[in-house]
Amino acid sequence: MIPRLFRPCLLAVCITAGASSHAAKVEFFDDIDMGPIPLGVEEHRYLAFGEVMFDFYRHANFDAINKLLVNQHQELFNEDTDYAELLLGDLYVTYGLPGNAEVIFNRLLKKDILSRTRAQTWLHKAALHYREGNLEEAAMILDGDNVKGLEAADEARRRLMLANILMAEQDFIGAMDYLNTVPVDMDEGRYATYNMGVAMIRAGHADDGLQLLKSLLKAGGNSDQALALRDRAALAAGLTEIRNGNLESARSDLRQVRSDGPFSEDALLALGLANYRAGDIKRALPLWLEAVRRNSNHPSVQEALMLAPRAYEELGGMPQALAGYQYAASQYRESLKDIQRAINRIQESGWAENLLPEDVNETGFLPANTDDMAAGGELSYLYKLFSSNAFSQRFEHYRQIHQIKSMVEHWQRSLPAMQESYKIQQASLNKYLPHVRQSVSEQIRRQEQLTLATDRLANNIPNFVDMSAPEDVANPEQAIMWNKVDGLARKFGTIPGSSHQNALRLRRVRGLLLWDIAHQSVEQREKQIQDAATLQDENRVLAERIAAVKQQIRDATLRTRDDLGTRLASQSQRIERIRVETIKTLEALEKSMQNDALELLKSNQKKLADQLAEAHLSIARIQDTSVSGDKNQRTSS
Amino acid sequence: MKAFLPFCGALVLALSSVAVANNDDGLSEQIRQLKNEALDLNRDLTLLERELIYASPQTNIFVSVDVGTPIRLVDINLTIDGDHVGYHFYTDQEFESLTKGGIQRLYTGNLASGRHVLEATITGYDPLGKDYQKTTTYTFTKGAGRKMVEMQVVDDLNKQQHKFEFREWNQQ
Repeated sequence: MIPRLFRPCLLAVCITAGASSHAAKVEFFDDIDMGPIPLGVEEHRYLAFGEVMFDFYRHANFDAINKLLVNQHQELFNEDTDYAELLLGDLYVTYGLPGNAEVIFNRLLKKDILSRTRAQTWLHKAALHYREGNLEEAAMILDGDNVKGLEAADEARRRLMLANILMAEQDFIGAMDYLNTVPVDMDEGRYATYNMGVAMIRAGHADDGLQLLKSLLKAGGNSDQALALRDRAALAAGLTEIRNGNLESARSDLRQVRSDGPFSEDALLALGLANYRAGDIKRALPLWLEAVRRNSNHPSVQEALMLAPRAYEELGGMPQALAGYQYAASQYRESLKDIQRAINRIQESGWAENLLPEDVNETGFLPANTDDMAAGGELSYLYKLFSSNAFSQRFEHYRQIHQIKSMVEHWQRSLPAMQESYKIQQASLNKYLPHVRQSVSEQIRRQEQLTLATDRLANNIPNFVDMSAPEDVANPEQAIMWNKVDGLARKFGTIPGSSHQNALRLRRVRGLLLWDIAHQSVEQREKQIQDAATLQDENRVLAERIAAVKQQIRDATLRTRDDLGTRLASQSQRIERIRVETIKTLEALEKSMQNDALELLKSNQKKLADQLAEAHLSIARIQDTSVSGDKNQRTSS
Repeated sequence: MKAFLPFCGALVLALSSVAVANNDDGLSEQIRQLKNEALDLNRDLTLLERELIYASPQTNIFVSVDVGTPIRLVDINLTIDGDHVGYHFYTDQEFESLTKGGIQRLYTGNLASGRHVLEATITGYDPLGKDYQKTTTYTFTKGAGRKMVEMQVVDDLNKQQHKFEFREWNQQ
């Protein structure tokens, strides 16, 4: 927790790209006293940038970019506000506008900026090259002096990028140097370790690769993603050990895959294979039978459907084998029907739209509405597609363009209302402005008179008590009484009953009243001073109100003469043009995603047809064997 | 949802590997151009809308919280001069945005000049998860220019709850 006292002095601006983050500290202004103060440019920037950060951290990137652009247009943010520039560049990268980002980064790098901001800008530029596949340029920046002095999170990101680039170049020793410093308790570190392990195995460095994969089995992390990655690492290690003939190690690794995890079907199949290869068919069979009970649209389950009856066959259980092959055939037929249904569904228009998340700001590139797909079996087949980089990027574009379509449709609906509102404003202002202009002069005069009177009153109140005028320090009841008593005293002698005794009584009453007034006179004077101050305060508010009305009259006068109506009308065609372009782009993206999905499903269809044919052949083979066995028995008997 | 999880992992794996530039017959360029046009359109229409609705200087009420606060802000209810003008329920992500330095604009409107009483009621969870509610009032005077009020929901470390602090700016 940061103490409140220090917070206004420093706003830590964390600019992240994707999951990784790096921070730039931006000093805005010193601590401020309470009470209204004039809004300076730095305070205004503090509020405006705070709003942008709110959108940024809740992943409303489109809104964040819009706020930055609006503030830029209003010249609140300009080329001097490096933090806003850097964030806009970062948001452009995330939003798939690398060209715009590069212009900003280059502009920043030409300027005399803080060394840390400079290093961050270089890192952004490197990330941009990396994202676009310009690995050589990315590596040159990441390995140079320009990126020195980065904060810890940025430094980890730099090392990860370098490790990935070196991995792609098969320089595993170099990649390891960078990877070693990224802790595996971070998601990024874990994924990089996994990638490195798999890349090394593929490049023929099986021992080193296995070591990395096995290090993940002991790594911490209890999130769903961490556990899924651990399963995946165990599966990859187990499959590599099977390939290398280390069946005991393979079994040990595969047993670490959770039985209810997302890779459990693959692990069951692989563990069965390890047992089978070790000659232990009896221990392979239950594993495959367990796999067979799972979702038959899963590729590993489809493999197990043939392996289980084959194991029965080898163990001499021909009736069970026959039943197994028949069951496999029926499951393949069902899966083929599922694939056909999935193909039909994908070919329908609106398929891609159904994949969109309900929350427009939901992060992630993957289709969100996967429950229906999982129920229909479609998900098992499209898994590979959805996890591919190319598809996820296209889907992200589709999501963003769809968001643009919603935004454009919103403006299309709002524009007529805005135009109508403008017309009503104009009519209303034209009707009332002359009268308001006329009467405001009178109000100004009254308020000025009031100010003068209030000030005069306040100035005339002495800050001491003078009992020569008791009515000035008397409260209302005392003042009434004083007027009566004083009046009687003045007229005494001319009124009936002006006896000596009454004169003494009147003097006593007058004396008592004077004593009473004097007794509370200090308090009364203070109250008078306070009331006068309140009056002055009220008058100040009135003066502010008069100023506000004058300002509103000026604004309203400008409104009656401005061209906002014309400018609003000119947006109509622009909105329609962008709407049409949006629809065309969405159609093109959907078509492209549909084609990829259909291609994958058709290849699955072909594979399933082959498996079905194999199942039928196996059924025929067992039936033939059985018939020839019967014949032989009958012949011999 | 469980079926979705492997894809998350697979995706990060895919993304952590090096991306390859797309060759897609100009579709990427079309997308980039459309995004730029959409951003420009949204910016221009936002400015026009502001010009239309807030021809006179408006009043803005902002909300911020202590960076890294352990106290969870659940919702906030705002009234000005007794009229309900704003309510917001904070999702985890939105609250996290606030704790990282984000500032939320809770109200923008055309208030008449003069004195106004703002009343804010928040619901929160203390670090032990116990819920509580707090209300505060604040009086401000709207003059000729724009008025900005920042309501800071800050930690009261003694009570392990929130308290309010206000900052106020006038723009001429």
